[in-house]
Amino acid sequence: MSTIDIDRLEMRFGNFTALKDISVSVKEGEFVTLLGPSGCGKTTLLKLISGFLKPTNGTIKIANEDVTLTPPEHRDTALCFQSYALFPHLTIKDNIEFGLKQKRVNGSERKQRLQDMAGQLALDAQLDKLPNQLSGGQQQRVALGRALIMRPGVILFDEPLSNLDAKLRDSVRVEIRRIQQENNLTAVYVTHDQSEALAMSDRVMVLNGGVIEQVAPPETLYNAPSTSFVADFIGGANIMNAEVTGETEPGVWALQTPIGEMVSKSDRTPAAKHIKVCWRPEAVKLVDSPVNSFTARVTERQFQGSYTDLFVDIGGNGYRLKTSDPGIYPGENINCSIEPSDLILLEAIQ
Amino acid sequence: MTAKKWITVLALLAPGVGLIAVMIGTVIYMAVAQSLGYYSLMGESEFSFEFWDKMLGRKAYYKSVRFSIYIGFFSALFSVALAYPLAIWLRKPFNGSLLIGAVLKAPLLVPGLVAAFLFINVISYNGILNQFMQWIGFWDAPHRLQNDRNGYGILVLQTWKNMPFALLLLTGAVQSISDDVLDAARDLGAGTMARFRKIIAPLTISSMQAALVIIFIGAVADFSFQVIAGPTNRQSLAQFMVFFKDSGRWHDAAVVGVTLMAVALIGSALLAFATRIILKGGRIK
Ligand SMILES: Nc1ncnc2c1ncn2[C@@H]1O[C@H](COP(=O)(O)OP(=O)(O)OP(=O)(O)O)[C@@H](O)[C@H]1O
Ligand SMILES: [Mg+2]
Repeated sequence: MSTIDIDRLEMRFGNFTALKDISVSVKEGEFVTLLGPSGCGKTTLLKLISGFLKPTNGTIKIANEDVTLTPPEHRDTALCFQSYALFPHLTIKDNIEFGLKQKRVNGSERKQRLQDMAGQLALDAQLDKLPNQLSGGQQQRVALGRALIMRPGVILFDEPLSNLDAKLRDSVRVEIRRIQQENNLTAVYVTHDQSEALAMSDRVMVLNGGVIEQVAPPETLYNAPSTSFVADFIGGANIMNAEVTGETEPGVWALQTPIGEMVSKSDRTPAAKHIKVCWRPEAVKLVDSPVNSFTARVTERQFQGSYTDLFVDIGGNGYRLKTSDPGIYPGENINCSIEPSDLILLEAIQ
Repeated sequence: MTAKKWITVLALLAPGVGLIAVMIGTVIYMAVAQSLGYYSLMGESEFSFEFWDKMLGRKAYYKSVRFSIYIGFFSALFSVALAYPLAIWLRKPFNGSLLIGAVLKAPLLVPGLVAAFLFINVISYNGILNQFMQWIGFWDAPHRLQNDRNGYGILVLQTWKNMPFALLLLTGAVQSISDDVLDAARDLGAGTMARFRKIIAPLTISSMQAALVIIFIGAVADFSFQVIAGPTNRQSLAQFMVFFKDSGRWHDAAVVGVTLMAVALIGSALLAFATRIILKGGRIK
């Protein structure tokens, strides 16, 4: 029964605030990804959950028990290090069994679990080797196995796939997810790769400069980002300033934007009169429409295979479009439109 | 390797290794030969087991062997045992850690003989230690601490003098262990002692062995501390040897000298081997 409840967590290093007012709950068996640019505090949050850092404020509960001051060796968590951190003097077998021996799990059970884990991670042939005799990908899997074999209530990953090549990354990613689901492990997974976050997670938590921008399932994050940072960080977006001029019918908002008058259909109430709005490059339709239509001049074209990236100029500002029509070239003027529901209301302009 | 290659290697090594071998070899040969009756400085030189025979019949000889091994072993053990926590503490730089490190290494610069004199001054019957213990009311009367029968004074001096050396060797070794590796062990449930026993000690075993062996050899052959601060009812091997030499009994001195070399050699080998067995459960590699 391992849930994680983080309440108003704050972490300061001297004068520098690495994390501010972090409150989030993770359900049992949930897979939550921490996503954000370098230096935003992902590793710091992971170290707080695993116990290597003590917060300057706030509390952390694991399985409803306050562990804010519990040292790492007494927390029911296992951390998978970005640097692998394998024990160089121990064989792969001893590395993987280390935690079980520490917990005094008896020999036959240990053997069974080791066999299962080695099988799952395809490490059977490596058990008697030392870490430096393994390839990077194999070492990565040992690090995973060493953490997973503990069957901890909470498993934490710090960018575990960053050193693998693309193909191996995909297969290990599937493997991690499968083992996590099979054992119903509560997982927090750090990455700065947005596609990894979208593909793997039940929910994604976007961090920026030590604060939470948004916590939501991948689909929500993509379809309804709540800030321009999230909109831009996840999938890319055209972000514009807009003035809300009125509500034409319930949930439909009239906006004045740099590309003309537009309407947005949204469950959200605009945060202020002057707000930011965004639209996805792939949400644009290359047809005329009674609402939200505009003319764009193509300035650049990048053919990407299944789609084509167009860089366009609308009223002196640059935007990006994605289209499946490869037959549009720079210099052409195209008529475009956006569905009102694809124009997303974001935060107020400060 | 083929024989030809071996010869090439040996030829290349000869100038360096050869010189060392000749120098060490001469000393060992001289000592062994003299202990067997050769190179007599007075009277006839002839082969004889007489000196060994007589020596092995002396009680004082065995006492001396045991005492030297005792001093060597515990000096090495205490020095390393003290140096480890300090090395781990000084692993990460912090405010003042450089200064602390320097102060801890200061004994390396103090000549042993000077230290021994200071030490017996401090522990003498009317010395600072006795006065202090009476002042805080711990002792009613001054205790006689000098030249204690168990050689504790020597152990204190040896440890004081050698701990910095062990620290020097161990600091580098301990610093080379990455934080993540220690954190990983901790995360997997290893407390302070388990981390030391299973991670730090095995990863620094070579430095530990070097420190143990070098300190052991030095302390086994201790002369100066023994003469000044040691017990009067028994002699260290070095002292025993000098005693024979001073009375002109060169062959007996040589017997003790050869014994000392053997003890140093066998003792350090055993010490290094035991360290490995204890820490690696018998696996040599
Ligand atoms: N021990 C520390 N002392 C001072 N500042 C620290 C310390 N640890 C982290 N920081 C700072 O806190 C911020 C967050 O660091 P953190 O390692 O959590 O970033 P991250 O999101 O994991 O980045 P990356 O993706 O590059 O790994 C950084 O600005 C870092 O400099
Ligand atoms: Mg990080």
